[in-house]
Amino acid sequence: MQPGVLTLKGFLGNDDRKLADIIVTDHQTLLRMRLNAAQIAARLQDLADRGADLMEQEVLVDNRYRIKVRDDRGKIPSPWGDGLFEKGDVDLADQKTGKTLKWNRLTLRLMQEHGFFGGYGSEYRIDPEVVVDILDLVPVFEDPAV
Amino acid sequence: MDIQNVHPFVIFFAAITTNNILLTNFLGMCSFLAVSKDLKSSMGLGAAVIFVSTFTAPINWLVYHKLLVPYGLEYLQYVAFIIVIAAFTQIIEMVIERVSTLLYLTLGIFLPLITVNCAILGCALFLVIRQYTFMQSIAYGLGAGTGWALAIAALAGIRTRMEKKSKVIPELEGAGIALVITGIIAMAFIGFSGIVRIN
Amino acid sequence: MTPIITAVLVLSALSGLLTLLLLVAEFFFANYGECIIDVNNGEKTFKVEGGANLLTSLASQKLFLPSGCGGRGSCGTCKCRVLDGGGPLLPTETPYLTDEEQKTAVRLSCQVKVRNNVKIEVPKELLSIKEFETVIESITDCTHDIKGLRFRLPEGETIKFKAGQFVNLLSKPYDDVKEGTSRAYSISSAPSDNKAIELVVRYVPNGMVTTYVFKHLKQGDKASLIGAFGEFFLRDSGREIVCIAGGSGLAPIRSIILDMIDRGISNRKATFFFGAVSQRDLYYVEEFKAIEKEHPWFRFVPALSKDDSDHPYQKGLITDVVARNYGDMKDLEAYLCGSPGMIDACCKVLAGKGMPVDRIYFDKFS
Repeated sequence: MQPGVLTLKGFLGNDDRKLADIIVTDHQTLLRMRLNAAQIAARLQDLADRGADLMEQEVLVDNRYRIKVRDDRGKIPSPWGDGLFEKGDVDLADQKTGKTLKWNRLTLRLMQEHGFFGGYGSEYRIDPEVVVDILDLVPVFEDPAV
Repeated sequence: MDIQNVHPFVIFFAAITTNNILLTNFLGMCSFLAVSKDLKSSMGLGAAVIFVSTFTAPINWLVYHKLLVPYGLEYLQYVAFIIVIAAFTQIIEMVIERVSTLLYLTLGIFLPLITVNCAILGCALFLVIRQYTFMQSIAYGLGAGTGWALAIAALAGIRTRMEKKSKVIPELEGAGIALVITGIIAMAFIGFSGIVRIN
Repeated sequence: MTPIITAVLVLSALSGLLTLLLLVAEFFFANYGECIIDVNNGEKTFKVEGGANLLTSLASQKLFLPSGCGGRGSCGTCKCRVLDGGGPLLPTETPYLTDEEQKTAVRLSCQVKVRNNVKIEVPKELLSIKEFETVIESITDCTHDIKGLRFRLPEGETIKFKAGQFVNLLSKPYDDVKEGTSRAYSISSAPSDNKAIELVVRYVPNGMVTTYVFKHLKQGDKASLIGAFGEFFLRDSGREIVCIAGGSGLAPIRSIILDMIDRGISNRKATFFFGAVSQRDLYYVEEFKAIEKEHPWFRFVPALSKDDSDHPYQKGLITDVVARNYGDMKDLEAYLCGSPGMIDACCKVLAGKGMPVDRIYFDKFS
């Protein structure tokens, strides 16, 4: 996960915490907000599909997301050793909240299969609290305490 | 207790049945629980443990009685024993990597973890406490390793069969049910008591 | 005082003895001796020092298997058939091998350890792959995110390749990147220009090798290139050809066209459609225009998808421009090079126009 091994900047940003701590903290946040990684990944992939342009031009989706999908050759290996994923970053700028996101297929895979959203400071971190704002996500399961 | 007169073979036999380092003393549990999911790797790990304990027990005996005691350094036994065990674990790692890369990769981290397997250190410390002779310590090392290997092979066999046939409640899956089964096997081994009389 | 010294001495002596024992064991067990690698049933045999992986062992004997990750087991490119002596299939290989491949003894050469004699099978072309320690003769800025590089081969060496093939460029460690790695780039120079290799590289944000090229390479630097590899080259069918490319995909097409000129092939019509967004994404335009003027069988058609300025080029998406330039395409063949999305889209258009799928050739770096 370190910079320069599988990717230029690595997956951990400037985060000093242990990987397990990063995953657990994000998991707690998800539980608190009653969301799950699968729904976030599905929404992001849907936006990427709708924002894709043959000439990599920016597309305005749902009248608020400015999405630019890169079409690069090659694949990135997963740090968990579970496969190769197509390159091609997706850049999203939300006109309503002003927030931005960056991800690629590997980011979504790590989120969905391993609960890993990226370390603090990583360009590819999908912070659950930021994403819920940008995507207007709806809680997916009942509050167990109720 | 006049231990010196007990025949080494009795010690060997006792180490497998009545004094099984895992089932009687409950030492060496962590790799036991983790690797016992698969029969083949269990047998591989068991063989590795037998190698390490058989060689380190007499060597540790020599180190203790010929090196530490004459210089009054008995308190260094923990450090010295661990150094010896670490070295032998390294050697068995090299051998396994050479002979079977598949086993080497399957055992993964558990191979170097033999170093901190408390059963091996326990073996060395017991032979000091019980004041075994040199021959007895060889027998004990071999017996303790074999006893551990037998226990892990038994548990692996049971878990493999259970995987297909039994339904375990989700809360007990994995380590939970493994510990329960180990406890039951331990109780069964109590049935051996009386076979061997060491006094 | 003395007890402490004795304690230290005793422990040191013990550790020393054990270290000696370990060295002896290492000599016996970790030493694999000399192993013979038999390639393609005796066509080539190598004697190597056992203990390293197959990829590295072969590379040390100058037989280069293609590798996208430099032997780290993360790309699945370095496949070859290991007929004998490779040991059991490892779990680090299975994610990258299909069932078919596993049945036919295909292995990842970077995961197979050479411990005894090995018999392997590799594609014939690989036996003529060489590593070139080149010097960068020039780096040109083609567009805002594309550079053209010209590498000069060492004195007395030449490269033999088919127009359309690619080479692996090796990057050296820099900044946070502690180990070099390699990536594939198509050769854009003609095969007749065999004392040099030209590449076209497009910057990928956060790309390990493109960052190396864009931020750390300059004229006069040394660079290692291995090649040439690839199944993308002009077929000798005599048919009219359609070339479609975008971005850095222009490279192999340029090589093919220059090669056709060198070989005097003038009886095949060739049209090169280059897809870009606006004029600032075009490059090597003057060169292609000159070729068009000199050789009537060649037509250069840039297609701009979003440029409203006053320009002489065709307007629209590359796929639309190709479509409106042709009717029935069943007797033509196509050579595509570009991003995965563009290749997919073009394939659909060409197939829709009647071109048989097996005559659509595109660059698959793997």
